[in-house]
Amino acid sequence: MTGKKLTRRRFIRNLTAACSFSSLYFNTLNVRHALGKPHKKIASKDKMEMEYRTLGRTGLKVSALSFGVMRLAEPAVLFEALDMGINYFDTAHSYQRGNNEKMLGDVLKEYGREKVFIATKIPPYHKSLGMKRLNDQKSLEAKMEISLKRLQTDYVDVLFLHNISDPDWPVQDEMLSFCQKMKETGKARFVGISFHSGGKTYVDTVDQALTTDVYDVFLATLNYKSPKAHMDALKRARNKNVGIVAMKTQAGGYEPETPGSLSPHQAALRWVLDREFVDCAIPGMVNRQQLAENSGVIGMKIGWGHRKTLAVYYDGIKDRYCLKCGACASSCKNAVDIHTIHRSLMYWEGYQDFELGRKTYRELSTAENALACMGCSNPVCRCVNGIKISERMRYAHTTFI
Amino acid sequence: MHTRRLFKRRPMGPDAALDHAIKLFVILWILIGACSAGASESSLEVILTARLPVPGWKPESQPYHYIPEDLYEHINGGADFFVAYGFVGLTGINYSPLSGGMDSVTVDIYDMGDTLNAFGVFQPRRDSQAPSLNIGTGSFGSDDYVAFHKDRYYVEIQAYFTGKKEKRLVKDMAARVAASLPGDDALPHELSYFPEKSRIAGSERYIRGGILGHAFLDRGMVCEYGIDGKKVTAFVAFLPSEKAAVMAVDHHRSFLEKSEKKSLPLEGFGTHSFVSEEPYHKTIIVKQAGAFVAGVYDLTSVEAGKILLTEILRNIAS
Repeated sequence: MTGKKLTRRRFIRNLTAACSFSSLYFNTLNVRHALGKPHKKIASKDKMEMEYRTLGRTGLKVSALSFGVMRLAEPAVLFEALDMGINYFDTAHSYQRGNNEKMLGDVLKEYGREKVFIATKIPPYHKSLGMKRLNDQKSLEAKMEISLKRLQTDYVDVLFLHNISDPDWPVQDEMLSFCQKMKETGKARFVGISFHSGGKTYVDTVDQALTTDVYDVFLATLNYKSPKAHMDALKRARNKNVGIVAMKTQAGGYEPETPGSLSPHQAALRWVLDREFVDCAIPGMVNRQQLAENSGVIGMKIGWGHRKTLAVYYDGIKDRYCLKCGACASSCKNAVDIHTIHRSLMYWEGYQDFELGRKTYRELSTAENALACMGCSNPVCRCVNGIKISERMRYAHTTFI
Repeated sequence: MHTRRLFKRRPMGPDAALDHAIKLFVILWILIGACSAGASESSLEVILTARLPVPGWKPESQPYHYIPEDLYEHINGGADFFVAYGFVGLTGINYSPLSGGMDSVTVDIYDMGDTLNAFGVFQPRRDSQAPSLNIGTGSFGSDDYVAFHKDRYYVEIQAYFTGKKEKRLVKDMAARVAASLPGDDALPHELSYFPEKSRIAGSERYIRGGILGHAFLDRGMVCEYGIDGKKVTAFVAFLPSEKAAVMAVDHHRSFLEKSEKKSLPLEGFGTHSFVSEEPYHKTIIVKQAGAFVAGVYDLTSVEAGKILLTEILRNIAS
């Protein structure tokens, strides 16, 4: 069995092949792409008409395809994006230790600051001690000053509190006070929170933040794998006129390895943009080809072929890759630590690190590991995403013990 | 069980003896491999728990570990950047003062797989305002933050002081980590393709994702030069084969044509070379050499670029 084990590399290779086949079979546009012939929409940037949407209560008319600048090293890609009509650029105080903000600032200074919208993020916590310590207002303001200086501007259009991993943070007095001050002083036209925690924390973060009127925009993980509860939470926010910016739209971590399998990315992005509560998406892009790939979905409607592509893509991963929704946590009558056991399997299957997988598994006590699963004849554990939990637990136990 | 079978006593001819010797060698080889692989992570832990703590400071808990899949839990969106540069794993730890209080120091050691990747993540994060420190292969920092790279490792040390800063603490810790990390202080050998004369210090970058934003020049090194008072950029893209390098040049030329930029052969540089205008940049000259594509852009004088390109090509060949 070990010899035929689906390693991450083999899995992606198989999946890529499946996706490529699916694309070739179901969608002639994707055939052109798979053969290296650019999609008409991709090639004709001059003819492409960017789609603009209103970012909730901010009233900003932002491009549906916006730009996650985080990993970008080449300013020319930003200029090309600007020429395509992309007008919303997302960076953060911490990206490349500020050099990312500097690069964006340089480009926008040349292009014209007033023509675009800048979003940056300030971390509300101090990195030490696993983000457990919140920054005080004074240090948040100091970070904001540094960011503005790097961006070479007096204001940002949207300021996010970065990576909210505790639902109580957005309603903490110091955070609210900082955000309000930034608005009052005009350093931030609008404020929001960014978050990508899994499970209930995601939902609680939305609901807590909605208890105040301070936050105008949410920047949240959203992709075709997102649980319904997350989407419902964002819909609630949108109903209160909060702008929704989607990130991690392509369910990162499973990038295709060949150019022929680009279509799952396009379909995934289009799927996000088709959610009526989404105002824009900020896929991270590092080169012109990715820009062209993503801009290729503007104006398209997701069709049967694309849904099939996504389904094939998702089918390949759903039976083993935990989406960390947390819904299974209370479903086991024996209190087995399902999440950690999934993680230990992922270390081995996903990253071929058997030792780390075994070490992670063996750190669990006998009450937490899958020993109880071995004799469990009537498992009641349930995964809302279709993972056969009891089988996987037993598999982990026999593998790592 | 296998070992017992292997060493079961029986009459042994020359072939059997050779067979056993080979088996023993294979077992030893596997054991040595296993030991050295396992030593990597544990040696990092030893550095953090035994060698590093400086007087007055103690580890708060056992070292923590992250892999590509869960790095974002530690550094949020910045994880994508590291993963793109071949991140293998992170070992880190938090320290607190023996005297108690809220101060803390975090040490994160990123295993980037090789020297080039470690250099690749270090350079773009470098703060041009911060002074260089004599730690590891390259370093920068302040009283409460130091980053450096050495061999396949990139290290960040960050302090949180509630009161008076301990000015030497972070730098001392960084120096101890650097001295304890395995490997040497050599820069990636790919940097040797670029002549040192007129090179702007600190401008060297290892790019993953596309030089000039071109996916067909996915991986390579770029450096800036000051020539006749103007800043130009030289690059060397690393392709998997000579054929791929030729294709990349063709691809580049066809991109320029689509962008309505005329490209002409680069006089004196033979086949698979051209001179053109790069969109959003100035004049560019490009030449394929083996599995490499080298070029210089943002030129105001093609002749000055040719001199630099010639030197780069000579270095590649040597």
